[in-house]
Amino acid sequence: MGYYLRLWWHWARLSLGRESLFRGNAWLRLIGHALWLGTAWAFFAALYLHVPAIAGWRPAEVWLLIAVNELAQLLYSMFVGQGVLWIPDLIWQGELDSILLKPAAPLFTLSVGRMRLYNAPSLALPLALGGYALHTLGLQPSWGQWFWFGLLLALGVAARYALTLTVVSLAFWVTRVYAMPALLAELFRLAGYPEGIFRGAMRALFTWGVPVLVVANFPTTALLGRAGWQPGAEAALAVGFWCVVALALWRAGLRRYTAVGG
Amino acid sequence: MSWRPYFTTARLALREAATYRLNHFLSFVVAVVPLIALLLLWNTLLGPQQRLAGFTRGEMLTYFILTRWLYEFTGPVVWWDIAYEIREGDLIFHLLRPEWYSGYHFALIIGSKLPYALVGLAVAAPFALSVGVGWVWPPGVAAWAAFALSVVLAVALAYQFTFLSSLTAFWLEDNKAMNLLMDFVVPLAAGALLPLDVFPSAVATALRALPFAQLLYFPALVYLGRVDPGGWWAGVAQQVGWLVALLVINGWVWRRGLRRFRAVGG
Repeated sequence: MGYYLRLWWHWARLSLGRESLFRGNAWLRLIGHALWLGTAWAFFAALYLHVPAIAGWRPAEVWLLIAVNELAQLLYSMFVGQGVLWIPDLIWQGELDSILLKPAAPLFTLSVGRMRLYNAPSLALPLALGGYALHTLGLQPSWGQWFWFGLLLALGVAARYALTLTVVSLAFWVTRVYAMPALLAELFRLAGYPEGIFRGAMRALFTWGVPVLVVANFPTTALLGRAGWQPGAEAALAVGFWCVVALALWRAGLRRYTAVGG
Repeated sequence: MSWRPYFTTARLALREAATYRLNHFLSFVVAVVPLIALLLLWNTLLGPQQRLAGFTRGEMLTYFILTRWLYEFTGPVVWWDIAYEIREGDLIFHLLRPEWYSGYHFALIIGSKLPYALVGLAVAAPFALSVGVGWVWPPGVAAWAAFALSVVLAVALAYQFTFLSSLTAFWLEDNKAMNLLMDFVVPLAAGALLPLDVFPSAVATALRALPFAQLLYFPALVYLGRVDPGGWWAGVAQQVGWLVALLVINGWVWRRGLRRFRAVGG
C-alpha cells in the first residue's frame, strides 16, 4: 500500500511539474470551465424566468446540481479520466507491454499515471457555485450529510471510471472504438439535468445501464437532505455491477493481447 | 475565374467523406445525445396545450431537433487544416497555385459535410418521429424555399466566421481561446442552447442584433413559420449584409496575415 501511495505522489508531482511550464494553458482551462459552468447556469436561469420549478427542483437546487456535476467531472478528469482513455492507443500500437513490464499493477499505472492535477484551480468554480446555492437555500448540511455526499460522489466518479474502462477494453477485440468514449462523455453530460425529468424506463436506464444519475443527482440529494438509503444502494449496486464487467473484460482482453499492434 | 477546380475539390472531398459512413453515423449519434435530455426536459415542462416564450411543445421540440442537425453545418469552427497550413508553412503551396484559398477550403468543407448531413438526417429522424403529430412542417412550398435560402446563406456566413477564426493562426500560437469562443459563446448567441425568445427581452434583443443569430435562430424560425414575409426579407438582408461585411474583413485580415507569413513553419 505504501508503495502505491509513493507512486501516486510521484505521478502527482510530475503532473504539476509538467503543467507549471505552461501557465497560460491553466488560465485558458479555467476560462473554459467558467464558460461551461456559465452556459449551464444561463440555460437553466433562462428557463426559470418562465417556470417556478423544473421537475420539482427550485433554481438554487439546480445551481447545486450543476456545481456537484462539475465537481464530479473535474475529479474524474483530474485523477483517472485521462489515463484510461490512453488504453486503446497502447493496444493498437502494441505498446501495452511497456506498461505490463513495469513493477506495479497495470491498471493502476494506466489509470493514475496520467493525472491532470492542473485542473485543480478550476475546482474553485463549482465550490463557489455550490456554496452560493447552499447559502441561498439556507442549508447547513450536517457532518453525516457531508459524509454521505462524499461517499455518493466517490461512487459517481467510480461509475464513470468503470463504464469507461468497459468501453476502452473493447479495443482488445474491436479495431476502432474512438466514438464510444466520446459517446460516453456526451451521455455523462446529461448528469447535470434534474433526475425528475428521467421517469420510468429512462430512470432505470440512466441509473443502471449508463449510471448518469449516480454521478451528480444522487450526491446532490444527500446535501439537500432528500437521500435515504435508496440512492446509496442503487449507486453501490450499479457501480459494483459495472466494476465487475469492466474488470472481467480487462482481464479477458489481457489474456488475448499479442503485443504486435497494427 | 473558373469554378471547375472548386467543384472538383468538393466532389473529391464528398467521395472521401462518403467512404467513412459508419464514422459519420457514430459522430452524429454523439452529437445528438444531448437531445435525449432536452426532449425529456421539454416533455416535463410543457404539455400539449402549454406554451413557453410563445413556443408550443411541438414547436420547441422541432426547434431543438432541427437546430441540432443544422448546427453541424451552420456552426462556425476553427478549421484545423487552415490553421495547420499557416503554422507549418504549407500555405506556401497554395499560394503558388492559381487558386482562391478561401474558396478551396469552402469547397472542401461543403464536400465533406454533405454525406454527414444525409447521415445526420437518419440519426435525427427517430427523435423527430418521437415528437409525433406535434412535429412542425413548413406551411408550404414557398416556406420550404424561404427556409432553404436562409440555410444556404447561413452556411456561407458560417464559413466566413470559420475562415476568420482560422486566420488567427497568423498571429496566435494555438487556437484554444478561439475554440472556447466557438464552443461556448457562439452556440449561445446563435440560439443552439435555447431559442433566443426564452432569454430576458433585453438579452434576446441584443443577441438578435448579432450576426450569430442569422446562423441558426433565423433559419429555424423560418422553418417553423414564425417569420412573416417582411421579417424574412429583413433577415435575409441581414444575412447578406453580414456576409459582405465579413468578406471585406476577411480580405483585409488575409492580406495582413500574408505580410507576416514567412513560410518556414515552426
